[in-house]
Amino acid sequence: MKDKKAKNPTTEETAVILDSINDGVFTVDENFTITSFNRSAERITGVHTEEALGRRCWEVFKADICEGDCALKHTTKTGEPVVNRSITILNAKGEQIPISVSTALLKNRRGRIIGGVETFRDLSLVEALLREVQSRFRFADMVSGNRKMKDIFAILPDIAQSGSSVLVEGESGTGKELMARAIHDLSSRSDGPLVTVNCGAIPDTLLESELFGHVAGAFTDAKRDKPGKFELARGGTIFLDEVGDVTPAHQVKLLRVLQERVFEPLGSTTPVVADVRIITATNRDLAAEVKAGRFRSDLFYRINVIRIVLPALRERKEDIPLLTEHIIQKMNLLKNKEIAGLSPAVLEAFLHHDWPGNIRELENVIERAFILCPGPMIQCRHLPDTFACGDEGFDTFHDGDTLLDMEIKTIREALVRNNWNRSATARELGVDRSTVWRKCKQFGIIPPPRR
Amino acid sequence: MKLAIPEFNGRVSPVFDCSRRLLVIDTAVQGQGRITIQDWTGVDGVKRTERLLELGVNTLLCGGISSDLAGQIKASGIKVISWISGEVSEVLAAYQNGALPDPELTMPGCRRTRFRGQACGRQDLTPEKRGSRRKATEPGWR
Repeated sequence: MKDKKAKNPTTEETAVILDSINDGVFTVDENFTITSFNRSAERITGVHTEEALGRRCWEVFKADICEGDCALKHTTKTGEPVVNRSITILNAKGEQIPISVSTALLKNRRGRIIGGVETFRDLSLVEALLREVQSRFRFADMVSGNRKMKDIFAILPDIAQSGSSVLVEGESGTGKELMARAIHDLSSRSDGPLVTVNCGAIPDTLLESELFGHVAGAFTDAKRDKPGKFELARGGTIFLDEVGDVTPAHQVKLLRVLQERVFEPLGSTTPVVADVRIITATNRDLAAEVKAGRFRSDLFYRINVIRIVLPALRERKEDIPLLTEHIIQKMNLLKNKEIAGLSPAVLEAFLHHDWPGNIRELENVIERAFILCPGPMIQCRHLPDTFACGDEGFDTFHDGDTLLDMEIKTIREALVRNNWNRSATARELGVDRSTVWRKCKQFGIIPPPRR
Repeated sequence: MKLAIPEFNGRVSPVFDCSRRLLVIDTAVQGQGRITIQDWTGVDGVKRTERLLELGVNTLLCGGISSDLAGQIKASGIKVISWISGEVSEVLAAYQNGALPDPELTMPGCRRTRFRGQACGRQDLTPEKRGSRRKATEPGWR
């Protein structure tokens, strides 16, 4: 057998290799002058190689980070590579193109630093596809792939345009206020204000004054006229949250506004026209409250023209991965962090949790984890003690594990990653769907309960 | 008459949308003109147009600029000469001599050729429209 010695490619061979790849690649010397520029770099930047060579990289690359936080500068200064950083560059049409960049040091045979290399990938298509996919699960600021929620999203534009009173029912933290905001934003009153009143948080003695306002002298401390929430919402929408907590005395007054579209500020005898759309919400079963005699039936029928029932989070657990991603994206921006996601164990713990506080509780748990987690993944130790979660034994194998243990763990992890979808799990593991089904049955692997 | 040039390392800044230093040259002052340096860190988006107007700038000489921002600035009555590269002093001299646009002071990828006029910053110039001899599939702008 011939002893073939590995041969370093020639400069020409290197150029052919670089030109054949789909990512843009360029190299710079120590002064950030471009020394090579491949064909994909030409395509993405719109600059020909002959024009790029010998120019400073920032004049060719035209990226938003060039002047401040240059990735190549960081690498040549610290020796640390930058991996898949998302930035934008300006193309020749003046369009901002999203790309991801990675950088590394270039050293000569003696190990001396002679410059840097930057590879970059055009993410325009990826971002467009991502937007398209996300738009299927998003409505206003709400995210869901749940059938009940998607049915609501489908009729929401018609509901918003109708101008009728809407009653939103759902447990605390299910997103009733977001729903009210979406209805307002989609309605013909979107140019007007959306005024929110939490009826449950205002003492009964103050509610009338808060809602309808008062005139000077109406009571001891009323030194001047004060407009109420109905007046402040003129031309827009008033959102009465926790309407089920309103006492019967005030229910009558609300009924009058709904029936006659007029109200009188406290201490005044002059009726004021209520030019508002009314959206109400409650976490109680209002029909049951009516039956029990605690809520007026005539008011119930007035506010219940259109009824939207928001499912609790435990009834839409399939949304947890989507919601988590949405919340993490939002918090990364707010907290200036780069948390990538949840560890498989945390996701499983989330899927097993009952979420009595619904999406608000999920947001709070993630916000807490953001404080404790340096990144990139949220782990069990970042969750409150109330969560049954253990990183150990989930995504790692231990001494003494049998092949059977490893097989069970592998299947279980893949199922969690794929949100318990057996077809997707089978694809990931490269086996038939029936094999996954058979193994689950054999090993007693069952998905978390959905209520 | 006031002229503004975004500057980076002594040269025209590559992207006006995120440039951090702005030189404002008052050409009404005799001699070379009086230069003031503005720190534009944190001045984003529409604020850039507002700040130019506040400074009383008549003409902006810059490198790359997004079409949205260029449109806003032009709509506010400021003349924009974009896609320029080179040492600030060279660019300034060329402007004062009426020599802009100059192929030597144009950003890479933006030079005029026989078959195209202004090469950068025009959304309407798709590769197909720039000349029948150009191949639409060819990468880049040539």
